[in-house]
Amino acid sequence: MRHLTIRGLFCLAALTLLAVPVLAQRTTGEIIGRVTDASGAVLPGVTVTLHGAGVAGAPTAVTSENGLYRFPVLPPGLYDLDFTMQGFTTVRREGVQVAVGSTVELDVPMAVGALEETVTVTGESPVVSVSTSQVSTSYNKEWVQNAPLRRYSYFDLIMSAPGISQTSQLGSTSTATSLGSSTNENQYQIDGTDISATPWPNTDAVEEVEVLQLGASAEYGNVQGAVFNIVTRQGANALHGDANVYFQNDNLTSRNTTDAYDNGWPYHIADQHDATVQVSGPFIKDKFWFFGSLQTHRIYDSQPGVNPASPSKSDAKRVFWKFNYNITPNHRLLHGYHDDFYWIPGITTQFTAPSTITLSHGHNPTPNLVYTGVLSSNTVIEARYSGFWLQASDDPNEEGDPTIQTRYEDQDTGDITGGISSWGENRSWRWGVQGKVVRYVESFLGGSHDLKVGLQYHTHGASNLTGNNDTILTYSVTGRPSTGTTQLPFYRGTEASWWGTYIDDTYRFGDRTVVNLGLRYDYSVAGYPAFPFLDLQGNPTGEMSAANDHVYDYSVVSPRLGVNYKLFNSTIVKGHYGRYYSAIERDYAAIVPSTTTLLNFTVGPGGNRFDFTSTRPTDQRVDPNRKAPYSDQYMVQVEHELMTNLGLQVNYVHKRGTDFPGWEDTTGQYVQVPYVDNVGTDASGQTFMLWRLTSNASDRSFLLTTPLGPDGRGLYMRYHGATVMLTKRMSNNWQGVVSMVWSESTGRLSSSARTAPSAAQSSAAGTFAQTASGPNDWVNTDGRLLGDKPIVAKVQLVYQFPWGIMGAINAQHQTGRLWARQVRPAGLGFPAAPIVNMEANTGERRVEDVDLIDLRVQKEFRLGDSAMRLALFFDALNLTNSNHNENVASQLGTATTFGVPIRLYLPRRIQLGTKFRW
Amino acid sequence: MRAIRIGIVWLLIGGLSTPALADDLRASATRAAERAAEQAAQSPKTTMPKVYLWTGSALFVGGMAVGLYGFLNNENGSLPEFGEAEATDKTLGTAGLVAAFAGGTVLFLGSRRAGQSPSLKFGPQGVTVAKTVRW
Repeated sequence: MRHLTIRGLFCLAALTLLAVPVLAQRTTGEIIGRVTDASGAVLPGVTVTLHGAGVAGAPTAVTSENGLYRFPVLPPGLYDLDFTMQGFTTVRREGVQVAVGSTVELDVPMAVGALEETVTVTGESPVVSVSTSQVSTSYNKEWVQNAPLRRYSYFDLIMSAPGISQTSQLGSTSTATSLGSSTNENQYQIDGTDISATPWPNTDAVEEVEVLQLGASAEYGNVQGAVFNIVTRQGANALHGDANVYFQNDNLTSRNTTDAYDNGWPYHIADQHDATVQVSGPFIKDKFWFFGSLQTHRIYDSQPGVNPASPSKSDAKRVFWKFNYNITPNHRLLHGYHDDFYWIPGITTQFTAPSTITLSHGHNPTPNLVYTGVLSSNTVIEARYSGFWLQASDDPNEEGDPTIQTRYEDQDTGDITGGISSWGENRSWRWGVQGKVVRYVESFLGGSHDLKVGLQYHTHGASNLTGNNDTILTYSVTGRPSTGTTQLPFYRGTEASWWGTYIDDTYRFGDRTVVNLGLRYDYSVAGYPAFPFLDLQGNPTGEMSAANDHVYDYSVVSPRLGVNYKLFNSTIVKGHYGRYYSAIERDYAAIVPSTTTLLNFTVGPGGNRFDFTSTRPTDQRVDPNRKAPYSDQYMVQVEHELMTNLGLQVNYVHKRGTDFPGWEDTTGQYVQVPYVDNVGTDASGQTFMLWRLTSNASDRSFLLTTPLGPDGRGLYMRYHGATVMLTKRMSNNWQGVVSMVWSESTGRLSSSARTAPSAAQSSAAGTFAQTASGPNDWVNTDGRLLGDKPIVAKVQLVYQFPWGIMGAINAQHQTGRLWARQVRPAGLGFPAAPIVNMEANTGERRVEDVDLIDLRVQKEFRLGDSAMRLALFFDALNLTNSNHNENVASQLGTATTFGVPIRLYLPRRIQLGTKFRW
Repeated sequence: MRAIRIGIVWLLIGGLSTPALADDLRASATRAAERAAEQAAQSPKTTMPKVYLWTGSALFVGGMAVGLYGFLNNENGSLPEFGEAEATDKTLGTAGLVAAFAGGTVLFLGSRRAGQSPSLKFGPQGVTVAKTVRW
């Protein structure tokens, strides 16, 4: 820890004081272009003046000898440009939209004429770009502010992107797969810096969203999945504010279940409201801008079949501020701060007693600081710091319920009673510094170059005090003996850090060809600090466990290559290849020596406990030579401008992931035994070869490594997908994104075994092949991955009708998530019968498809002659009252609740709202 | 962890205190900044009264420092303990934030006040003196 701290502070100081940096990630876009005369000859010396709310004053650029001009690091928004030169008619381009991470290529012809004459072109800028080879989607504030959404968190907004498949659409779920990549492989950024999915900013404070799904340049490391980049709003020279209120209640809520399902207790809203106040403006005009946002958000509700007297109580109070200080127009400082004070309960079902629901509550302060310097029209530097420090507690949802209480899980009926699974006091943190230099070279090696060089440092970790409640598995129908687990409270935690450096070049040959070249190097190391040992009463004994600051490391090189060719002015063909590595996983918490031993036991008829056995022995190790998981990613794309402001993108994507981690039992003795699947619902009668443990369970040694498994094949993934996306910019009163993705996602990951359809697809090791299942986790787990959704279609449209009326629609269809029938075969020698898949993950057994339509209708009123506006709207969420289920009560073929739908999507709700702006 | 937090708070304090040092930074601007300076010279140059500048800057920097310390400081020490979710001083954080915005408001009023003072404009045609008059 000391080592990490000193190195981290040194890095922080060096990057900040020397002003070397910047970071690689993106919060801005740029406008570049070439100015020509009527004959097509380049025009040097043309003055280009930029106007926009996001920039101070009116910056100018002068075209170079090749007629090129450039405005880098522009905040997202609309800009106007004036092109002036003696002897030529002035050209004015209005309403040029710059999105996050975009390069707007705006070539302008000028005609001979009087300077006083002006030709104005409004709202026409290209929707295709030859500069990058990526699959990405940007949502501007038109969508962000008008999207009909559930609004549980900002994830409801960012999961709208094409090809993104969220794990769940209920509760606080914040994970998603992107084009086959697992949920742990995404990167989440606020204002351009990776802060993981932990902090949840206020949706209303979002200016623009970029979802970069494939083709990330060498600036991006430690990501195999999508990069979700949230750019928050900022102040400007004008004083503005807005107040937004959203409201739902039970009278505005339909019912999508029957008495037979919910026992007379349909989905119920006890209290739901969401209010935000935001102010922005100048402290000093053109110099010092501020933006402030406060939100209070409450959802008290109960799921079908749950007594509404015991609702899940979700609350959030979010604060966000941002200051922009323009030291000069070319040297800028930005400071942002987000904090989310939250109370998030688990999701109840008709099978879970209210006393078993955990309430996680805490807050996560997330500050950042960014310096951007435009040293010249050819050189930009940036330095960035950001981080978060979460503090949280896990307690019972119902105030007054005992924290320490035995929990009972009936394996035959699915009923869960007693206490919460565990209580906890938790900290986690993540912070990093990054810097980069961008240099534009107009003529070198036969072309122009946008050259970026950067250095990045990040560290993250967690420190927890955990108390697992005793858990007893009962069999009320089949009458099998009950078994249970017990474990004393313990401290433990893990830490990791990484250094990354990269070089990236956008190499332009002539007018038609661009090559994106990139190479990055990452070194990551993981360890754990010392923690106090606790005695039987949970008090520190005074002894500390051993620390290990080098459990394992990764040292990896990632090449990126993109080739883009402008076939016609409106058609571009692109190809991309890149190798993408996962971030180092802190998946080895089980080996931290302060962890107490988990004991299994059998429960006698009188409730007495006996046959105590350790299934997680202390002999657990991490293979120091475990391989870094990675995927090779390929993309072919055709981008075509169908008409002004309407673009079509067609992609084929292929990913090949390998070297994912899992556990290996290195000392246990096993023999293969036949098992006939002839018990329970849908029993196939087939015979499967399972693994029976013949040695003492407590004597086993587990190694966290890159396993090959009994079949000689490791953990891997394959993805094939085709996407079609139509993007319409706001013009002629409407904008929208329409997308369709066909895909197949196969392989075998840790989440391929023993995982419910509402769980996250993860390539982290978890407990795969460990403890109570051992090598049986390799049985019937090959096939479709948990996140496999052959069809994902989404439509998002906004239309501005006359008289201030606006309509917006958010519709989606997604194939339901897959699951497999399982059994708990007895007699395999484990202390508790393991769960084993009785059918391969073929994708034929799935929960229901997702079909959702959300709608907004809004009427805006202008108040007097001022800029004040009042908008009233209503959202119809789940307009068709769909009742698709996300999970089943039990996957065990022997359970009476096998396949019974649970976690039904919320019924149709009317959400009323008002937005006041000034 | 404590060292990291303290370091970061001071970094933020340093970063945010630059408004008071802006003149020095301008002096070191590079060629690109010189162009910007030319632009700046073409617009009316006004000076904020010092009492507003220093009072506003001090309130803003001090308030931000107190606010960040209140929200970031962990009162539970170096290890998580019972009541971890409540182990920061939200009252102090909020008070600091209010003070910072008060400082910002003073700067805002100062800049408004500066707008009413006589201004100097340096341009290719020479020096122009202007004063905004309201009645």
